[in-house]
Amino acid sequence: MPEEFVPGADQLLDATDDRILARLASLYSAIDPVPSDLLERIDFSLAVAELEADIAELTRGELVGVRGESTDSVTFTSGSLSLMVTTVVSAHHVRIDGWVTSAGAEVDAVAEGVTRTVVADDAGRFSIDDLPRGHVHFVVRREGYRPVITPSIEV
Amino acid sequence: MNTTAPLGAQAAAAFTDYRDGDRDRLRDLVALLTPLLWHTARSQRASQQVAEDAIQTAWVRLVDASDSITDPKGIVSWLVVTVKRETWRLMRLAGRETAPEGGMPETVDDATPEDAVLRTDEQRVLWRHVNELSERCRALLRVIAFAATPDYASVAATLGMPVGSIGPTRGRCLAKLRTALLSDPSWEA
Repeated sequence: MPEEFVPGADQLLDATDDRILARLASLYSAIDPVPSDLLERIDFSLAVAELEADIAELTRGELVGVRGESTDSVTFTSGSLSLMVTTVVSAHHVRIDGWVTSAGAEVDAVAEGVTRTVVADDAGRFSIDDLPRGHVHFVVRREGYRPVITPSIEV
Repeated sequence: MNTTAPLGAQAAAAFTDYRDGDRDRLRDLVALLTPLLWHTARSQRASQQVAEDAIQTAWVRLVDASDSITDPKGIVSWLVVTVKRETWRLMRLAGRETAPEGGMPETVDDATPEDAVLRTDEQRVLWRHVNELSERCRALLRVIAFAATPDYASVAATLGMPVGSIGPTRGRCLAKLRTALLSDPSWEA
């Protein structure tokens, strides 16, 4: 197909072109925005890929809930491992009381911009204080097993 | 695009920091480039689901391949190409069956967006002129709008539409849109 001649096509970009392209970006952002949770999900996929981790499934409770000033429990399972976390939410912070079916396992709580690591005691219990509100997921490491990563919950 | 540094340079810096062990910079990189990748996938008429899957796959491949990438400056093009190919692959698998979701047009090209979405007269004027272009031009401009000007040439070349060998020339698609807008009295950009 012969290329049709378009005046100005071979000229260098100038400030007017920049403005048109910027307006075009705003237009498409308005019409077809990036889904609000896509970044979160990409971050999660990348964490899984980087850790070569197994993904735990939510087996009890809900990932997203309006929790307010309340207490809530969720349970995750992967193979023989279970992890139960209870979130206690105050105005700005969250405490997590947890129990994992593997004494001495190392548990990371990964929130936005902060990761807290604790070691479960002989009964598998652990507690993490002072997490910011928002999304948090957990990574459980045990000697001799692949790490297990949970989906994020909103706290 | 009012970014201070070109997208490609920002991306290369974030990627290099990430490879040097600063994991938070991977988040920065994802936040920086995902809008460009979203519109790359959607400009190929991918459903939302296909677009999301293709983008996630591209990022996971980047992380898997991160040690073997020799030129961090090339990752924007690498991601755009990977998203585009993965989009096509998933669309072939799905038999190109793309059903509209929740009343929104499945691809922007299929319908006139509601007035509720286009809030300003300026956007409506721009939209009207964009829709006069060929589908190929709409797809190209939609993607390069999300790359800052210095990256325009490399992103356009990646999409199979080289825009000049000396500098970033306007190219036929943008030249057409520009001419149409500048001769429209209701456009005053």
